[in-house]
Amino acid sequence: MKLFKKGLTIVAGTLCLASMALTGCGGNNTASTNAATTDSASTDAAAPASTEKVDILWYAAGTSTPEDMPKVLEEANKYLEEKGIPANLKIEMYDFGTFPDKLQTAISSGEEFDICFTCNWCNDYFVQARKGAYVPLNDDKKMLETYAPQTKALLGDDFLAGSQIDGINYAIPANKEKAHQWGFLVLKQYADKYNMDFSNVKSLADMEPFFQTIKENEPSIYPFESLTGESAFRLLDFDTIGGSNYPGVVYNDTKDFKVFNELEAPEAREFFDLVHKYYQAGYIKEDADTITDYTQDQKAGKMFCATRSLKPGKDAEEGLSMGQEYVQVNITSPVLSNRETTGSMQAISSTSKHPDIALQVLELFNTDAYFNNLINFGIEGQHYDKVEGSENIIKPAADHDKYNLALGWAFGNQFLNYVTETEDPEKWDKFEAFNNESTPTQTLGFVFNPDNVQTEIAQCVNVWRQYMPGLETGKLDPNEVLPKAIEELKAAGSDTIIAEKQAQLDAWVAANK
Amino acid sequence: MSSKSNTKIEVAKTQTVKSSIASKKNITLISMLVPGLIVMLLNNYMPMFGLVFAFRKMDTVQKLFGSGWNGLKNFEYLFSSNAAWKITRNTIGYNVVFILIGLVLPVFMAICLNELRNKKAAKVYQSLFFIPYFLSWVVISYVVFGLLSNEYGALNRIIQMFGGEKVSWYSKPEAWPFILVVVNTWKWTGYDTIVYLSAVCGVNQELFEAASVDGATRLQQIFYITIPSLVPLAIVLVLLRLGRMFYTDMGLFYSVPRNTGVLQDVTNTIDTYVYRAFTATGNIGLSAAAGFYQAILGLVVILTFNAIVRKFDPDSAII
Repeated sequence: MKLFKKGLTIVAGTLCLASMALTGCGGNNTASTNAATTDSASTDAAAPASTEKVDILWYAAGTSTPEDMPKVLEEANKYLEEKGIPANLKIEMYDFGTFPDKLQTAISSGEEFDICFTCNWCNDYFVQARKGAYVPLNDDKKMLETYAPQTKALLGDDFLAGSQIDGINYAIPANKEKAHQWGFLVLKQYADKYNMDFSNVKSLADMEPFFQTIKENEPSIYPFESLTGESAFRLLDFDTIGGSNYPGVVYNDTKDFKVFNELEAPEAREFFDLVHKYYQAGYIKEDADTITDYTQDQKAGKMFCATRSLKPGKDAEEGLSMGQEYVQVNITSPVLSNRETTGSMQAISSTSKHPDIALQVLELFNTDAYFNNLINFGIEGQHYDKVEGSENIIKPAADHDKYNLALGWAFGNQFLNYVTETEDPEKWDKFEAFNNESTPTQTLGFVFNPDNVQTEIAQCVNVWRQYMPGLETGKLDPNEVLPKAIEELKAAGSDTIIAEKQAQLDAWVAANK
Repeated sequence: MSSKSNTKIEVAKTQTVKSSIASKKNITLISMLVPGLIVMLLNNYMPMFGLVFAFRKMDTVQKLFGSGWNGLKNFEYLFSSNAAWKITRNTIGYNVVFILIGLVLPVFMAICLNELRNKKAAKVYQSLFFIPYFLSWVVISYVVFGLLSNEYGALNRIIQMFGGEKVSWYSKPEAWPFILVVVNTWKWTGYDTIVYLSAVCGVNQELFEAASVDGATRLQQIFYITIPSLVPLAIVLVLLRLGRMFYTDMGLFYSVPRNTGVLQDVTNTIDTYVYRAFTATGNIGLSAAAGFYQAILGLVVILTFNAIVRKFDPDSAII
């Protein structure tokens, strides 16, 4: 018994130590320190005459926070002061892979922040807005009209109506291209070297001879990038009404509004067969299904061809952020859908103590070319220089690497962005033309409400994540795995989800068409 | 009894109580308890109110009591699919293996370290075993990736050096039960060894002296003195672990296999399943339901085994 007590003391001692270490970590929590500072600031700001600055925390997505962010923010805060906006802006950035998880936890735990990136494919706008995570902008309080009137005018009906949930805007869309178009970005150096002509490429299958050439002649690079969630599966361009990672889609030009499981579609089967063939032929990296960050391989120029969402000048834009030269190969035709109108937005968090000031910051960002470009490209003379004789064409400067976002579309009004010297000076005019030639999907404006099928979604997501990465990257044999995946999805309730989507869509069609 | 004697007894009682509380030694001891108690209240008791989420419709933190009750609907997704059997099997299976290895290997190592004549060397070994315990799972996941990755993995390099074909480890589900067990053992054995080692050191040396005078060999001393004196500690540690039978380490089962779909059959546990569901739905009700379920089952297991232990060895039972 004595011995036992001794043992117990030791265990208790270690546990005590461990728990003390734990509290140490807990105390470092940025959320709590943040809350404390804004708390004290808010009491000061309560008096309207006070010019006390308040902290505005902006969670932005696309890359990890660049090295020179503090310098840029210092400039930005000086400018905000000049403009009379009492904000002390802080921007924290995460890459697209990390961002959804980061925000999911921040929002669910009620962390205090002001602005965040949100959209339909990363940090799901519809899910978060329905949970009440974002401040409504056009309800009785008319926040958008009061604090960001110019932004409202700028966006126009397409964007505002296209990003509403039951008539309410919970976020401000970035003013950018209105349509999406899928296709490939190909490394220019190899396309030139082997005199490749992509003018007849209409589908993934047409790329095969080029992949073969690369495979045979360039052993150090991979012919085709294939990634979980970012694979060529998107070339099929299904209209995913509500949420990825679980089934239920319609065709873009659907007449009968029939919702179906995309994995059961014949073209999906064809795609999986093709990509599996490519995988076996060695065109795709062996561990493609475990890769979450593709930028390393892109920056190193190790991927000959990659599937991307295209728009005019995408080759130059991505070339800039990856340090490579690309050729753009358009495959699908431009389509205007909820994907674009909700493709990149900034929302005001409902935990924000100062939604009004946060909106003023966004208003300035969307209307003021200096402020917009400061955040996008950094400080003139340090991160970029203006090309002589031009006001809006820029080239990299000495510290370019310390602040190189090239993520104009992920922040806000892109039409204010400078154009880099490698880009087409007519870029923004071509954007306009691209916007005008696109055709809207049949379901533009419809938003799926997943509340009734939470159980089924929770189950389907697990099945989806088990099989889809292997299938879409070509690693798994669809002959064997696809039927199994479909069957397990059914067991997990995919039919219930599809039926629910169908019922909601039918009701929407009856009311709106 | 007269009231007089009654008060007398009470006075005596309060005096003894007072004196024992007031004794200086106890105050120091009790004050040492305070930080731990505060942490326990904050970390272990405050969140219990969150259990209510398990029975409510989807809520956000902002409108805690906004939506209505949801009955047992939040629990449904844990049981109604094919995955239920797999995730439960994985969770329990791995934990049973971990508990067994965590019992046998550290005891063995602790005894070995104790038997080492060169005490300096023993200290060095002990520290080396302990280091992995301080590495976070994310770091370990990269260490494992460094060993197993297709292109640059050390293991594949070695296999190729001997003329073998490289193996795509992250697409071989059959290999992962072993990999996970090895990795978990590597991380925890050092820690457990030290706990047992301190108990081994605490064994009364006179016992060994008496035994050697009676002609017991080293081996006999280990089997008849060291191991029996470790039993109570081992029982406490095993019982504590049984209580966490339905929990698994997210780091080990999510980060180390790099969230790879192909491996999900052998790496999906209750925790990773719930995490994947949560990141897609953002529904804290579903996660709370899973936590509730794990806690209740853990309690049942720990009470059952405690009852069994009490039957055979009442002194070692914890309750």
